[in-house]
Amino acid sequence: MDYNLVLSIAAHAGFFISLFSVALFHRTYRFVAPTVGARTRHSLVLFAVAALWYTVSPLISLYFFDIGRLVFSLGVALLANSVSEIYFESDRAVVAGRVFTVLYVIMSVAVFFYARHLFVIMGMVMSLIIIAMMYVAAKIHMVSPSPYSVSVFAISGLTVGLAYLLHTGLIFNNPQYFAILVLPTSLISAFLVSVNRSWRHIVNLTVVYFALGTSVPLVVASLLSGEFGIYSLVMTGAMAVMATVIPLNYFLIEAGETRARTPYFLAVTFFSLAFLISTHYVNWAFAFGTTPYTNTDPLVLLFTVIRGQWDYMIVYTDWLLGLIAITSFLLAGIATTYSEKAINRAIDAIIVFDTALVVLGAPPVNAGRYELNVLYVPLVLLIVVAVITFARVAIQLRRSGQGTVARRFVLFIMGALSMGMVAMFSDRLVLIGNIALQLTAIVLLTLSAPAEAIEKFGHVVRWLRRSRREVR
Amino acid sequence: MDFVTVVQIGATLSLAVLAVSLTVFLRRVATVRGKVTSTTFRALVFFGMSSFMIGVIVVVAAFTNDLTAQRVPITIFVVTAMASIVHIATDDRRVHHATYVTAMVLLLAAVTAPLYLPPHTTQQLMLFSLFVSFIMVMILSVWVFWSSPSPFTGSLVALGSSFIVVWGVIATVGIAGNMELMPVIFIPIAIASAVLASILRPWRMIPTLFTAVYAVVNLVSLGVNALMSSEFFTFGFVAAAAIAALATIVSIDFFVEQATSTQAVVPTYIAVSLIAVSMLFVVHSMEWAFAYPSLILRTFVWAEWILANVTIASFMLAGLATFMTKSIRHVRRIVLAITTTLIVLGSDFASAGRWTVEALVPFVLAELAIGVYAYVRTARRLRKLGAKRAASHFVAFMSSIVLGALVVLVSFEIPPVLTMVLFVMIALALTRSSPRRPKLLGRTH
Repeated sequence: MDYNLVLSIAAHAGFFISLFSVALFHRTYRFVAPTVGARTRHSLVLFAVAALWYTVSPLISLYFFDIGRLVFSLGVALLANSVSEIYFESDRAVVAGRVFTVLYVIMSVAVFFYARHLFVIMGMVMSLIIIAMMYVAAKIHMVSPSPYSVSVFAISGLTVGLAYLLHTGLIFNNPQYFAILVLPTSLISAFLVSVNRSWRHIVNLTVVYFALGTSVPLVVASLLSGEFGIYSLVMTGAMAVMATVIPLNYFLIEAGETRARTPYFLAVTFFSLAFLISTHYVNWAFAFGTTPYTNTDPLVLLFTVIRGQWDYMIVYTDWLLGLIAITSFLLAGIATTYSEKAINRAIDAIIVFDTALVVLGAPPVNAGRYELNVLYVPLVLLIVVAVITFARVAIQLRRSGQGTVARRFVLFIMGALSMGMVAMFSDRLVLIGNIALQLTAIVLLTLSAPAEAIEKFGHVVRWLRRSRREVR
Repeated sequence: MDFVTVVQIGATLSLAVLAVSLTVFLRRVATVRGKVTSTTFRALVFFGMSSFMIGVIVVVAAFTNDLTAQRVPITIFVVTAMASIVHIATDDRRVHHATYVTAMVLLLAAVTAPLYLPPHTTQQLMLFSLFVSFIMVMILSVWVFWSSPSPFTGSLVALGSSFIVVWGVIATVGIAGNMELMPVIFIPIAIASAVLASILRPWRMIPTLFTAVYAVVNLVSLGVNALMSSEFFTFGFVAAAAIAALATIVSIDFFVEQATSTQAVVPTYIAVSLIAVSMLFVVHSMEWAFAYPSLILRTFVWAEWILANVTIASFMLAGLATFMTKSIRHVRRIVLAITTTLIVLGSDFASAGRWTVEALVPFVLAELAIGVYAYVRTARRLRKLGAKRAASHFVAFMSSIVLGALVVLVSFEIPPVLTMVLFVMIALALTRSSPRRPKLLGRTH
């Protein structure tokens, strides 16, 4: 499979995702614009433009590296200006922010054309801008925590990663990291779409966009080169991610409405599980490329255990996501039966446990001395405890006459578990086992979702099609 | 210094300590005989027996390396612990009788089986049945603790866990071959006697008694052995560490009492740092007695690293908790994560000889700087409120605790005489600034 192709499709996919989101945003904007102040309007427009600039830059970088760099820095400047429009109170400061942005843009272009060797200075200014953005986001978050502040903070953080990946050329040597190109794009686009809507769409859409942005390039590239193995696993994986969005959306609604701990933890579980599946198939595709099984007969391939060279950084990312998923799964189980105090104690204990595992799994500590599989042993303990807790809840539900709920509960646990199995043991199972587990997860999760969850997910799909008047 | 002698002296001493605790326990239990149900009473008596047996196991292990000698003590421990838990868990007579029958069968097997069976078979059969019973004890005790948390059920869990420590100590190589296990050998005895002596009393005595027994057993055995082998300098060092450890122990009770009566977090953290620093002095004198200057045992270094980290982290948290009220929970979680990271990174397994704990000291110093900032801030506020004496006492007390941890951390870089002097000075400062006037014997109620 050609990773240059994957990279370029990923950049295109990111750009189209952000175009799509800007189109949706435009509808919302026309609806919202008359009701808000001029400054908020400016900020929104700047944000949308910045998102486009910002997401088109990876695409340009692939072909014209220097221009891509320029575009990227302009995108960051516009984003910063959009934040400053909202953050500053006095008119003077806002005007100063605009003047600074205009100056920065002119300077960048001038430096680009007439003094390319001074570009490093602009890079320094850009890092200052990013730091300022993080500071502002943290400050807004302290005064009034909102999805806006969290998103700005996350975007600024991801910008650093993206800049590192693009500008050091790391992405060209390690194209399996293309998922990181998609991540900021997903977040910004999700944020744009959910302006003036519930914040949970940021979470839902980030998951969906990320799955799309990672699976589409792999699927297309593997189809073109006839890699059946990658195609089948990525396809089912992407479908499994889509299946998690239904319960994720439902639990986010529940968590927002009831303020209970269990749905909150379950939402965290599904969020990290969805990301885990996405990063896992990315890594699986990479590992597959290192095996001699490329261009094998599909029927033979289905019954082969594929054990390639995994990229350790992605494996570690999976490890972190998996730990978060299992931990919050356990906490959700504890939160169904025990008191607030017990949950807090459990969180403290689990932090100690998880930190030890995170440190022991870290590449510099590990240094190739042991596989992460060794660390699964203590992890299985957590899973067993969580499953026992959930089974108890299911039995109690059944006894109290809520048979349907209990059945759903069991299905849902099994679905989450089978997704975890793929992530943990995919290099020990035959290909068809992996695919079957992912398909099982899809079926189980869809079956386990309560009717209202599917109905509520239907709302999400519907408002993508609605005219602007009906938008809530 | 002869390690085997040290352990034997310590084991004998701990048997005496346990006997005293058992006497206290039995006298207290006898007073409530008519007031509680016979089931509860039996549970208490069995509990006392099993706690005592923990000590007996360690004593036997100290004098012989032979695992077959452990058969009877371990069996008695397991069956009494099981009987105690079963008596708490259920009032069903039939279950009690079944437990008695099981206990008798196990005991009989432990005594008679080796007479008729080849040695290896007995070992394995006993191991298997004891393992099953012990797992049952652990599950039952955890279950009892979850369903009705109380100091007594908590002690049952502690007892079971300390048996795991004991088993780890004696089953691997035996005590004599394993000098590195010294810091943990007497922990089970300290737990058992602390729990025994504070039964039917407020549980806040347990931390003080635990720390005190741990310090006394370890330091006395070290000191006596140093005198026996005419190493007077080592004796002086141990004595200085003992003074410092005892000076910290007198104040633990006060803070635990504060923590339980007011539900405040600051005294809890102070108590934790006091316990940790006192154990740190003990472990350091152990390391010094055995290791200095030729052979530094990695386990000792790691045990010190853990204790120093706990001390400094809780020092910082106590400082921050004085002015942070709501967000202290999040801060505590961050600090927990950092402390765990440092502890794991400091372990031999993680470092694999690539780095030493000295490389991690800057992070601890950063924690320390944050703590110092917090104390300066609190002290200034107290001074503004006019409580000058309280401010200076508070700061002096906390800084001497953390100074103790620091002295231990840098101890191999400075002359030992200076360490000894610093220990004594820290003891003096702690006693001067302590909220509790020292008494010869701690109050028992």
